Amino acid sequence: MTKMLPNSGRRDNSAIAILNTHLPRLFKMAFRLTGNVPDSEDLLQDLVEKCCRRPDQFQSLDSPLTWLKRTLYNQFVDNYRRKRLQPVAFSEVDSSGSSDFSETLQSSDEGPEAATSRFQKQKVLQAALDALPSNQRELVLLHDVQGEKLVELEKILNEPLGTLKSRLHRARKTLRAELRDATF
Amino acid sequence: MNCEQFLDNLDDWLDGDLQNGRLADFLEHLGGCKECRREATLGHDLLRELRASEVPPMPEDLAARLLRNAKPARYLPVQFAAAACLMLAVLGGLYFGVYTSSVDRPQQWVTLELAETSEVTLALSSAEAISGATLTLDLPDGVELDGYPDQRQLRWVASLEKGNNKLRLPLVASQAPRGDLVLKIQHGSKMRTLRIGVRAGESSQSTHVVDPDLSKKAT
Repeated sequence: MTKMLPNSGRRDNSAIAILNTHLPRLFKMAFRLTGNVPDSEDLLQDLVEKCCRRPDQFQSLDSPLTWLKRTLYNQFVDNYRRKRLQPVAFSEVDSSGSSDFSETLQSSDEGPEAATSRFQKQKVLQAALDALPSNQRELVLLHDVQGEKLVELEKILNEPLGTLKSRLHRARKTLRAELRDATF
Repeated sequence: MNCEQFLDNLDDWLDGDLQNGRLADFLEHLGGCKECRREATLGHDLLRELRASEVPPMPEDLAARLLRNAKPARYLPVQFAAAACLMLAVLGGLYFGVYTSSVDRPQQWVTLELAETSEVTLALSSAEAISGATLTLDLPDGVELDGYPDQRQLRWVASLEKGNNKLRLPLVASQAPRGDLVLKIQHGSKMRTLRIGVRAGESSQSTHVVDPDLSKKAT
């Protein structure tokens, strides 16, 4: 009879190495989804703990990064989406961030009118993004903002490519309409 | 290509996924239709605005903090001394490849003496070797795992060998237990749940119980 005792608290080094390699990309994804640094860090903390609990999972994965992204997204849906966080896609990064919009305005080569127009356009777009259904907003954030390919998102979001394309089509159509109204 | 077809293809074009014949048709329509050209320009502007957003740099110490704050996997004590020993053998057929089960009622009962450590041993019979199963133990109110005060749930990863595997749980009832002890064994999408009823009283030194329902499934 075999003693079925859990592993000790020692963490698996290969799992940590994989996490370290991908952490910058995962941080970006977490930030796109949550819209702020503290919630991004909380989301990543949950992910790290999950990895530490099941380090063996990495050994059988063809693409650890895809698994990590899918797990991160699932945790976001489970733990954070319900809090109705507003993703900050543009400027209103918290004080620990470096992309404060006022700095962008001051350092821009644009003239004041163009900068103001751009600022208004971004505000409209932010409001339109916030108003999208959550699954459309997250798809836009991950694909159009973060730059994830749809074939990759098929695995991360666990939804068929055709469904994602239709959803993206609807989301972009809505955003274009908002942008058109703001422009003309 | 008409305007409706143009708009259907707009997303693929914006993503650079339009090729060959479809691309030629698309561009031909783009050149000749003012309305569609405006829509395409708007689509371009939209993506430019979206992609212009920035992410603050990742804090330099983030990796270290995440690992430092991560709770390590729980380690269940192998030994405990001078405790009353109650043996409960549950032959749980772990047929992960065949079925997923869950139970709402206790399959076995165990009696714990109040304020004493009692070792409960779960004997799990697995039809096959299983690597990296996740075990989740939920304790009823009033019962603790010795050495883990105030923890209602413990989780860890373990491998099971084909045949019998033994899990010893040093349990302490600080008050009359309320609820059941539930052990979930998960592997991939399959999960097996064992529910043990816990009550307070005078425990016997050794008890061997075979769950009839489970033993039928065991080989």
